[in-house]
Amino acid sequence: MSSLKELRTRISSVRSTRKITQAMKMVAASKLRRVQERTERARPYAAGMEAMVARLAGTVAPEDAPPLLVGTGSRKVALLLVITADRGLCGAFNTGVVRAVRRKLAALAEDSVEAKIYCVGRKGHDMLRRTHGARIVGSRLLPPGRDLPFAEAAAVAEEILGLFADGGFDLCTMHYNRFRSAMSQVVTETGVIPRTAPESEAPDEPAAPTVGALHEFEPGEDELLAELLPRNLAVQIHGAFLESAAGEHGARMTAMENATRNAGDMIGRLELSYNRQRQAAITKELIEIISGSEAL
Amino acid sequence: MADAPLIDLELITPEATVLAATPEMVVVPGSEGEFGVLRDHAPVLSSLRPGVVQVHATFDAEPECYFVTGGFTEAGPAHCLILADAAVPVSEIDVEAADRAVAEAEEAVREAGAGTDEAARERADRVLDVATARRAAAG
Repeated sequence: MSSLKELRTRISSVRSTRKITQAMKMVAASKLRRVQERTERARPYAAGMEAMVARLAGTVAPEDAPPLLVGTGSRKVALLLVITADRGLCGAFNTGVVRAVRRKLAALAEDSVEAKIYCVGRKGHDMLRRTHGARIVGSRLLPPGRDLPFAEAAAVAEEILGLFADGGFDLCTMHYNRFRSAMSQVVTETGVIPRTAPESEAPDEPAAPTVGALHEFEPGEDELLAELLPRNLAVQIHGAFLESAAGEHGARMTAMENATRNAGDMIGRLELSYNRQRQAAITKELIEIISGSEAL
Repeated sequence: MADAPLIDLELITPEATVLAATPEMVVVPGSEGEFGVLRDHAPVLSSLRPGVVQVHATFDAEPECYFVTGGFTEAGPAHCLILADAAVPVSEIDVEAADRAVAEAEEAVREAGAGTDEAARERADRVLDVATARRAAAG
């Protein structure tokens, strides 16, 4: 049994741990709010871009559509864009993505498709490096600081487009945590190249307000599409960054809340046994005094 | 012209909605040339070059000007949607900083011109285009 002094140190150490987890929870909550605001602000642009691409994609014949839109036709090499957080202490947030990626890698291997990995965020890179280090073609950390500038997503998009242009891969999928609520994040896989329309407005889209409105294109469709698609890729990546960041803060919030609660429980248990021992010591001393005086 | 028909204008960047207004006319720097958008404009989808978007609340009013670095626009009979890579009100452009940016971009173009990297040269050219247009917009 541990001594009173040991218990006291233990209690104070768990107390300070609880302080830290509590602070981390609050920090995560405020960061989450900030990211959500940013997501909100980025949404109109993404929606407008998606609508434009959809409109243009409808006008080009499938056979002469650019490869960015429909893929290269073959499916020999796949690029997996893995988006995780730079930091841990957020529950299963990072492992969830990595597990999904491992599954995907196994499935690709079965179809004898060669896989390449591009990591955004340190944690995913660290975890995948051990088992799939040879497949990692690029990686970068998330930008430091609070917001996720669009330029960062554009830089990632440019690197990926560079690889694509060099024939580095045929397909590209993006793996990240989609923010559902502060309590739950959903590991999501999105096809980036070839383009897949977002499911929400898939089948019977009311064809926008411009039914039959024939657009004039300046410059021509092909040139416009060639400009729009890379841009759209950056927009999609940026959206995923934001989702992932929101998810990360949500996950950390939940994880830290649990940790705080656990610390509280532990403090309760430790204090109980501390008080018991203290009382036992007092009783023992009293008995010694009483029996001493009785002996006289 | 108090009851002139208006158009719904939205100027959006990836970071924020810069402007949502209902002016009478918008002048957009299309990649094939500037064009004005009025009510009942034929549907058009165009890319933008670095330049100034002029928002005329009424035809005879002084336009509100925004500098955009490039992007896309979609105009229709009653709306005009501008997706800009970046947009700032012209009045907020720092003239000195714009001058410096032009000088730096020119330097970069010279350096890239000496090299053999085609992509780097193109990139430097683009940066210079944006910088020059920003300087011009600042007046």
